[in-house]
Amino acid sequence: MKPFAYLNPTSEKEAIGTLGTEHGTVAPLAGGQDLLARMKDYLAQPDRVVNVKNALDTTITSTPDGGMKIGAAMRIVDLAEHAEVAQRYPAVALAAVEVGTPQIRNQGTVGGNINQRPRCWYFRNEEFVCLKKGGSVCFSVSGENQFNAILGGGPSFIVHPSSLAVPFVAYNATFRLAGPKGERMVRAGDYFTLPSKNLQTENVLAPNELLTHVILPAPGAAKTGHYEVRYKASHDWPIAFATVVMSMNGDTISSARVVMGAVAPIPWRAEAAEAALVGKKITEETAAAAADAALKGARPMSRNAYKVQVARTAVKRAILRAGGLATV
Amino acid sequence: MEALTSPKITVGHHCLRLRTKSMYVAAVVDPDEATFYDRYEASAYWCGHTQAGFGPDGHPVRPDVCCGGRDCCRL
Amino acid sequence: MADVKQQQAPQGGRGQQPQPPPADPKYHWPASRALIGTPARRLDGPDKVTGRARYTYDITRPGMLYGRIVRSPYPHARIVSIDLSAAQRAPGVKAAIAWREPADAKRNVVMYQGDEVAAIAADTEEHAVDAARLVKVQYEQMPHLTLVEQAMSPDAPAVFETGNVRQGQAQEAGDLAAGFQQAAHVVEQTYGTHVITHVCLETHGAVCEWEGDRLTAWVSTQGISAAREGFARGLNIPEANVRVITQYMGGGFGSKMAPDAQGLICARLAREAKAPVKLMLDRKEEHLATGNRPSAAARVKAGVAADGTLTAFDAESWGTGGAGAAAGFPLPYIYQFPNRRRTHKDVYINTGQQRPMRAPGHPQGSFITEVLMEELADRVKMDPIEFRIKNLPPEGPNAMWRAYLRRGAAAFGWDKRHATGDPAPGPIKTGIGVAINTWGGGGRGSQAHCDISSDGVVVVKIGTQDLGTGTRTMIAVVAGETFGLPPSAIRPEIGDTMFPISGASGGSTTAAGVCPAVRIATVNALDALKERVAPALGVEPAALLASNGRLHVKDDPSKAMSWAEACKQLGTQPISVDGQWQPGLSSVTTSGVQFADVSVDVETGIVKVKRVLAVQDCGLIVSRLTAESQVYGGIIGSLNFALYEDRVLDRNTGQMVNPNMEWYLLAGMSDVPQIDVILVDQPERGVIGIGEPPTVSTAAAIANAVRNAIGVTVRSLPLTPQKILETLAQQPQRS
Ligand SMILES: Cc1cc2nc3c(=O)[nH]c(=O)nc-3n(C[C@H](O)[C@H](O)[C@H](O)COP(=O)(O)OP(=O)(O)OC[C@H]3O[C@@H](n4cnc5c(N)ncnc54)[C@H](O)[C@@H]3O)c2cc1C
Ligand code: SF4
Repeated sequence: MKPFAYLNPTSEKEAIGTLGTEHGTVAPLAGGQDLLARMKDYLAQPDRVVNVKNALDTTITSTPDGGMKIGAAMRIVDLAEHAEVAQRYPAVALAAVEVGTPQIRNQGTVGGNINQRPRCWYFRNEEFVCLKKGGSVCFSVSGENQFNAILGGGPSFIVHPSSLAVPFVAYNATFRLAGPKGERMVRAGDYFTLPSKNLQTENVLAPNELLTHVILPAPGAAKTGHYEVRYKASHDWPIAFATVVMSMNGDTISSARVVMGAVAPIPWRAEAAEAALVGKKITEETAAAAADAALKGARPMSRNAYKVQVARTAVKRAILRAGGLATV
Repeated sequence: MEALTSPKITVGHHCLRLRTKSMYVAAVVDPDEATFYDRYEASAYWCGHTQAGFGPDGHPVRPDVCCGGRDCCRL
Repeated sequence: MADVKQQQAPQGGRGQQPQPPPADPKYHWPASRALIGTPARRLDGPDKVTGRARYTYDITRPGMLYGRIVRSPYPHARIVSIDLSAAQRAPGVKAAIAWREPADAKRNVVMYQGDEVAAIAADTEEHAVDAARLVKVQYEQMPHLTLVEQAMSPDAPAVFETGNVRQGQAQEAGDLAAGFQQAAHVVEQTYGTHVITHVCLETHGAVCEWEGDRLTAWVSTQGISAAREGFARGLNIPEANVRVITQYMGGGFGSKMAPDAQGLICARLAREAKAPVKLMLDRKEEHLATGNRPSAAARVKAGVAADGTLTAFDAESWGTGGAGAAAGFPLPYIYQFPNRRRTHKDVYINTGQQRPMRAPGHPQGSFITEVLMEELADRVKMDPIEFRIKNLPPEGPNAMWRAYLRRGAAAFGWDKRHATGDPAPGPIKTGIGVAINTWGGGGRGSQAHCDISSDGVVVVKIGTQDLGTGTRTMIAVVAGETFGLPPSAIRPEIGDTMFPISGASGGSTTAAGVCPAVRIATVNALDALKERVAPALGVEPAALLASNGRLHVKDDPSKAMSWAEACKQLGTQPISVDGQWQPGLSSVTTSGVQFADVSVDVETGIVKVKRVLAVQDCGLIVSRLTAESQVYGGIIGSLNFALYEDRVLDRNTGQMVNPNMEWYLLAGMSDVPQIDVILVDQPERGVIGIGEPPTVSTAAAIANAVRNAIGVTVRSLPLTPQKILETLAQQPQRS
């Protein structure tokens, strides 16, 4: 590991003052579950590591408009076990409880989870100087792409690793970012960036900014479903997963947000699926049709066509769960 | 087990530095086993001198080559 | 024991001693056993769970340095130069060595990613890792072979001097043409298994310390004497100058037979730095450089007569054991095809070489044969168990599959099996499958020593090692049985080349090698004790018996002494006697069958194994819990082979993309099914090992259960969601 300076600021302002203007030279440290592993593997070699756990909010509070505000330094385990979150934003709790392992959840934070770097095995192995590391090729294109993107890929084909980001986009959360010039509010759906726009990072966060809060709007009477397809029961990554949030007018879906994870370089909103749901009742057929619509634009690579089927199942089952019709 | 069916390593023919698991694992032979399947060659070999699967000359270690004419071979 | 078969060891094989005479009946296993076969608790369990047990990884020595190896990132390259200067100047560095000679054409080519190039010793592990990265190595990349198909193609670059493919000898029996003529049905398919690595929980490595020209090496090894011989040979010093210690080790699975290059490097760094050096590999190095299970593939054409009798088997097989290593496996496995032909090719690619991995060759042969058997059974519309029973070798103590298939079927609920393809509606399909196994074992040649002192302490010393199987517990059970003492009263001392020699723990030979030696040594010790105590009780030594913590007179149990009292008679002259393995107390070859119960989600391709049942024999059951534990471990290993583990190489660069435990998948606790074990005791056969057989057949049983569930055959491992969905997509489900 490259030697680095370690700073331990105790306020948001102080923390921001320590950050740099270039990506990679200064690294905020939250739970360290991602960052430390990258540093040990020489993938991240910051000069300065800034512990943000004492500087940022670790709590969750109610907002005046009936929503909730999650501090970025809140631990994933605390989010997973929060009764009100489980009741009002069940998809957030379900996503949180599935992350990694108990140890990762005990240590990892909400801010770290959203800002963690890709897990693509080419990105994670030093031998491969891929596009995301300043190289000239995405090795997955002609290589081992069974876990890479089926949507939104190019020129890099990573999938976004965050489990929490998907329900946050589905609930239309807002991220509060703080920088030297003050705060800015960015919709979760606008936070993440495709590699075609930004190869260096996966979001709009500037190197001198921190993500400080996730603000969830009031959930209303929405029906929510979340379904993850994981090969193993723990210490694993989902092959594909989906969160569905639907507002109802009686039995009829009046509006819907369908977001898929692990299929694209960003949490992937499936607007075609949303359109397919509006005006329908929740049935097997509606769910299957919406799932087909969600994957219609999928462009699988040489070895990941199976992910289209897996993602389709995730969307279908998330909808059925939301409607209380799930059989599996 | 594979040790039973590995080609016999013979002193005088094979290199004295040729190594394989069955040289360290002493076992009794069951003649009946031959009726459960035919002989097969699954053994890994290594060179006692390099402690690796490649000899001092950089080539793989195997009974058919670790004998006679190989430069590094010690009979 | 009439059915123990003995045969001379192959001529010229080293490490084989001449056969001693059969053991005197006084050494035979007692007909009524107080301890042997009972579920004795693992003696060193508390030490392991509390961290008191010291593995090689835990050894620290005064002034100890940490070693780190610089390895080739490329699968095939010529080393143009090695510059150690920057590394030598790095903080904490005490030694830096080149392991290759750029100027020497014989010593400058790396053959796989992970091949050793140079090494560093520094004051901390972190300094060593940092400094190793400062070694500047200039490589000239050379053409490499990564995919087996590529290596087999005639236009592949000639990477290996003797050819990229090595054609094995053809095997033939019977009359193939006649066999196919008798066949009513013929199945012609290609089957395959993939490369996995050993993933020992404790990585390979050593701590080396020199005292003058004597070396003490703490090594994570499954053969302390083997490691001693390896160090001596590799360092060109007498074996007598080397002492190897392995008190505890975290798994080897066949990959820890020798010091390996990292052992020699560790010793050399220690000599150069004039300080003890610890060199333990990391997980990536493990995947790349410490062995793997070769892949296996076979194009098979097999015939079966209308009545379900197998008639013919014709196979072309191949596999890769990496750079220049063999990839053989038994085929067909166990079932009797009277007319058969098989040809085999070893295919070389630029990866680390294979090493023996728990039942070398058998899991591969088992998968290919058992899935084929399932397809053949369906052709003749026979129940898979009846079909197997019809085609097994004759029954014998070492071939009990018929009985076990019936016994297991009843215990497992085989009668509830549906025909191929679960007719249940919905995406979750369930199915059950079966597969059988065999393994030799049959250890021999161990020595043992037993000391009894006047304080009553019994020490059994033997230069064996505990691969993690519970060797200490087994020794204590055998010794306790002889002395009529509980296992906790015995102090087994193992894992040190200062003790009497015993074989390496490989081939499931430890139990069958060690137990007879311990039995003989302890019976000798008891005889010696009786001699010394008999006068005090006024009887002949032969009239004494040891049981329940006492020495008493056979016909008059009231005439007795407690163990402590008896040992007091020894005064200052302890008992110190030897024993040596003799035939008659152990045997060879096991048989077993396994059943698996799975569910498959046909919309996601995910397979969950719900239940596995094993019916397994291992001769006389010595230590029931540790024997069962071997079965659990074997089944979990094979489950990993079936579903999860896969060494994935980038097809273009030849570099491994998952050299970790994140994308190299391994079952966690919640992925492990319910496992039921029926251990069959065969006391009349004596001791046989059980390390390997249980890991042979689970993968095949799971594959057959998956086939039973989804109605289509997946002919290669691992059974990933990708594989299941692709197979389902190619072949519409039978209704
Ligand atoms: C085997 C395994 C399985 C896993 N499975 C999952 C899974 O299923 N789903 C999932 O989502 N994750 C999974 N993870 C990843 C894990 O959840 C994340 O690594 C963890 O949530 C990161 O949180 P952290 O606080 O430890 O982040 P850190 O490692 O501390 O930080 C991660 C990154 O975010 C930056 N950062 C941290 N906080 C902030 C902030 N407030 N503002 C701006 N930047 C910040 C850091 O600089 C760093 O670059 C898995 C990890 C492993 C090893
Ligand atoms: S590589 Fe050479 S020295 Fe080593 S065993 Fe083979 S022939 Fe002998």
